Amino acid sequence: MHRGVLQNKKYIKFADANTVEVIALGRLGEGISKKDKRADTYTTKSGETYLVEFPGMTVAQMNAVRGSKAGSYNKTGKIPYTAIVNPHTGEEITSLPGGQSSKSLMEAVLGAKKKLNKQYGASLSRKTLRKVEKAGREIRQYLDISDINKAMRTLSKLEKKTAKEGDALKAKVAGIRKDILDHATKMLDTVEGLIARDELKTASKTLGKLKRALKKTALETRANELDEKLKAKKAAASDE
Amino acid sequence: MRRLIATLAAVALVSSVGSAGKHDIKPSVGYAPSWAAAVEEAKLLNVPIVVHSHGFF
Repeated sequence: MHRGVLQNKKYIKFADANTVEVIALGRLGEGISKKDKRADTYTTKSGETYLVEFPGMTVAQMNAVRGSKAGSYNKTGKIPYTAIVNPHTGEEITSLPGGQSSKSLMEAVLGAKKKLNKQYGASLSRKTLRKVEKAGREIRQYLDISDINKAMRTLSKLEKKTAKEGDALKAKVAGIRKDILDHATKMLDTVEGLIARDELKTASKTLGKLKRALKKTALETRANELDEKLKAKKAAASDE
Repeated sequence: MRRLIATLAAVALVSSVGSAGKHDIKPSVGYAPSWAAAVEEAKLLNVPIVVHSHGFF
């Protein structure tokens, strides 16, 4: 089952840095029913059935991958077969029928990656992607407690760190910014409601924090307008 | 790496449910859980997708 490659320490490390790996496994049901050792499964406490040979993959996921486009590349009718695919077009860059050594596969992958880099720009490292995802999780936690200040500070650092990265990553970071501003918009709506109901102390407390956080954002004007409104209401209240 | 961690977690999970003795789970490459997930991640990383076709025939 291609163990020489897929369980090869050197290839595992290489794949983490250079590829996205997909396995299209044919006639898995037959393998399981015939108790083929390579189709051994185990069931977790949550009831999901995983394949021993393919850690992290459930039988359901494996069958779905086989039924997807991934299962369409091998037109030889024989296995094993390896396709190196351009993710942007779905086009097969390199076709490798028969068994491969990890060395020959790594060489072929590097050739394909070079083509992608020439056409679409530099690759992004998973390390950088992990940093963005970590910051995204941290920001979501801040949003859960409506701490827009900390969310914006974390975003600002992230935007600086990823300023020179490609468009795809920048789009991911832009998505995080949108989530923050959407949350802040809801908070401004709440503040507006508080002002309308003359709950000025609560409105002032929330708006004060928001105003600082929303400086130089698309919501700065609205925060300032609400602040003016709040000041006017406070002045009117003190005159009475 | 996320999938590598998931793989290691799967190994740990088997141990926790007491099946480690029965199943010899070896370290492996991390697999994309679906074709859509593979395309999304590979586009983002701008790296090729390697599709391994194997089977029981």
